[in-house]
Amino acid sequence: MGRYIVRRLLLLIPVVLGVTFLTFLLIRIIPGDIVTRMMGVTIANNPETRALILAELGLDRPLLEQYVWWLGRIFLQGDFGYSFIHGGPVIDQILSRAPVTLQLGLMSMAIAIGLGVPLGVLSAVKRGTALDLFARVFALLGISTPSFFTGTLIVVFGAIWFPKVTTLGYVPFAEAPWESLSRMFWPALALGLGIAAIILRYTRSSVLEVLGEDYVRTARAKGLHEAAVVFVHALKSALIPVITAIGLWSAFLVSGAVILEEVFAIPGLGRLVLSAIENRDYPIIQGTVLFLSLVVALVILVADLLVAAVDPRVRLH
Amino acid sequence: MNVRRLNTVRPTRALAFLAIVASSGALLPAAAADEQCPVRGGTFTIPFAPEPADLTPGANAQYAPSLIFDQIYDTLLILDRDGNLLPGLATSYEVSDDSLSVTFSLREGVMFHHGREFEAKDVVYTFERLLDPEFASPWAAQLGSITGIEALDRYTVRMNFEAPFAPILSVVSTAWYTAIVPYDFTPENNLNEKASGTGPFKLVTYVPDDHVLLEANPDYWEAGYPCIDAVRFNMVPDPQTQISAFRQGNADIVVLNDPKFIPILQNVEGASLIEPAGAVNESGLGINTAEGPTADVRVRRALSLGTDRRGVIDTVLFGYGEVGTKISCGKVPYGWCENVDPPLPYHEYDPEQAKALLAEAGHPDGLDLTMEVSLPLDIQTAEILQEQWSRIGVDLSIEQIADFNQQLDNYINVTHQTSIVSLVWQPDPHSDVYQIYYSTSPINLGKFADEELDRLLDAGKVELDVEKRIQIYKDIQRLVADQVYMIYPYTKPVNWQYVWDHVKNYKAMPSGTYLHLRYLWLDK
Repeated sequence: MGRYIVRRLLLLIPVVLGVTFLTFLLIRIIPGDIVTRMMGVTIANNPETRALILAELGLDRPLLEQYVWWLGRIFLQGDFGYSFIHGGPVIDQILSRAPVTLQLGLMSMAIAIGLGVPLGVLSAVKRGTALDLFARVFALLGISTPSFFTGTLIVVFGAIWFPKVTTLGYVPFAEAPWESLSRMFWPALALGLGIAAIILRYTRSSVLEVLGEDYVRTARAKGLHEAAVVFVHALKSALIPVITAIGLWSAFLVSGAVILEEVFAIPGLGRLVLSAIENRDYPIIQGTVLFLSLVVALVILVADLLVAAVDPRVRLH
Repeated sequence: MNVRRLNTVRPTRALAFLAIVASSGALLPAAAADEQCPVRGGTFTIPFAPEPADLTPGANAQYAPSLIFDQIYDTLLILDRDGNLLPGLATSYEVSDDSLSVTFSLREGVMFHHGREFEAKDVVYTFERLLDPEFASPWAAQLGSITGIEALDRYTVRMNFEAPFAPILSVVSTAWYTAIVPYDFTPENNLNEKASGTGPFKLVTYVPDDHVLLEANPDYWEAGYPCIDAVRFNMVPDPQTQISAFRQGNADIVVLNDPKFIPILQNVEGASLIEPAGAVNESGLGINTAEGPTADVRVRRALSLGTDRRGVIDTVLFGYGEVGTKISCGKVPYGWCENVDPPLPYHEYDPEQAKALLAEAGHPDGLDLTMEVSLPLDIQTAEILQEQWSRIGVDLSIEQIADFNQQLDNYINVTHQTSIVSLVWQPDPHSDVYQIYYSTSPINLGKFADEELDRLLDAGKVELDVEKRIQIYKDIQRLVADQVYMIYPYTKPVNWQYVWDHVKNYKAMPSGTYLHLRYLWLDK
């Protein structure tokens, strides 16, 4: 087990190198640059000023050298660099935004699991009934509706039909817990519905499969109550693929959060990286993408470990 | 020193100047507090985008930060919504006979937010900082003809120029360019949470991507103002979300950049549209005048005649725009206004004459053209033009460029046949037209090389007599229309603003700045 974790952690190195190098290249390929952004088109077309600013930002050196320098500073000194635009340390920005996105992520996951698992179980147990049909239609709609669309609908129609309910903005949990939760509920719902649909489908097919197993028949034959059969015996093994799915879809959660933070005006990591892309603030973009890719990789690792802990058939080495 | 007041050029102007100041009540003492502000207090909330990122004046060319730091800092003069120059930190100014120096008398007793009195040294510091290569301000080149700025005494400064520089009065009225910063706050500290200016509001906090909070400056020199306690700029990137925030009562104002949103708010009870301050944004249709079929002036004239500008305005802007040119009607007193100024050549829709001109230019069966666009309003404009020009035999193919910055690069380097970009407000007619029309300019928008145009542009740069200057810029617009160097399918206000009815005494500014935050009051 220990060796497995170490191996998985070592595997992170090529993943992180790949992601950071791609990011590094992509943001330099997109047209429009930091000098134009800072100085306006008139001045940015003046070669002297341009050279001066590029040198100041260290952008005049060869691309590979810039990359190695940036990476080296992070891993040797823990220094993520400074924003091109306001000069503040990148790591401060990331750490101050992370709790916001974490809250959005946790709340969407709670909504997704809270809706997806019970509906999935019910849909499987009551297979072929109207309830099953409803759950399956919900799943289809949830999977095929992009979260930014659900989010925009909530923002637009929420304001028209319920003008007294505040659906926008962010209040720190520590400042006003209820206000914080009630505002974050709406973006979390928009983001959670899509994942709820996926979890529902995983749960449904997995429960259906398990209900056909011999040990479930044995449990029934023992004269156990149907609820006990489903929730004690069947669900325990049926949830194993669901946990794997949740781990994998956390990556989806991160990309959804980027867009929904924009729609709901929430100051999280998604807004940070989007503003930085607009401003061509390379250190912020690189730092945030590195941070997010590490988080996603770790969440997937934790999900795998959880599966191993729950499922005796899975051995990790 | 042999000086005279610029105001003597137009004898009535000095009086008008004083009359405006007195009637606005802006400079009266706070004695009649209740008349100034029937209700005091409250926070005014503005949903704001894009992210300002850096609130340091003069550090970068972005316009959005200046909309916020405009409230924290003052300028020497103030340009009001009708184009009048009002006293700001300078109470008066004098231009020397040779137009090579301008002397400003400064207001006494003005306090910086950090508690020191404003003086001539601060003005000197502000300009020297902008000109300092180390600070790398985008405005250094703009101010390049300044040879020196000196403090004559504690309350008088003089700016010297190597050649007359007419835009200086507009430049010193625009916080975007020349917000006055204190000399004892180093530039590195003079940003974000550590700002100190003389403006009506002080910076309390800036939480990136969340909000900027400003509180009223109790020592503000326009005694009795501001009426409100605080201004909060909430960072809300999406226009639809801004509208929702407004409807839910989480904002006192919503600023619409696209008129398509007006119908959404039109029937909301208790909200009303503030009258826009005039058209200042132009849709700029760039034309390659050096290569291809559009190098022929007859083809360009045909395109101008084939453009039904009113039709574009009615469809793309739902009628919320004006027929105009580069210096549009909102830019008083220099702008060209429809039905006020004499009509411009080749400006009136006339498809028959357009067809005749195309035939004369050797395209009796019409011709094919391409047009680059990337932003929504520009795309819609191109689609309407495609339809309108098809009636004169021009087959226009539209090339949508996904990345606006890419299109902008092409636009500036004129790699297209035609291309549309919306042009932004500029504080002075010189900055409006000089860079985009001058033959040797790096951002000449059509590969123009017209000696007469260059001569007029140079004349406008040095002419400090306002009447003569107005004539120069009208001549420029006529020349550009006659040669059809560019087409301006429409002009429009910088934005449309809705406020709740509890917001009193608020007015929109042509430039989109929030000058009237200091005068508004909240009836709730």
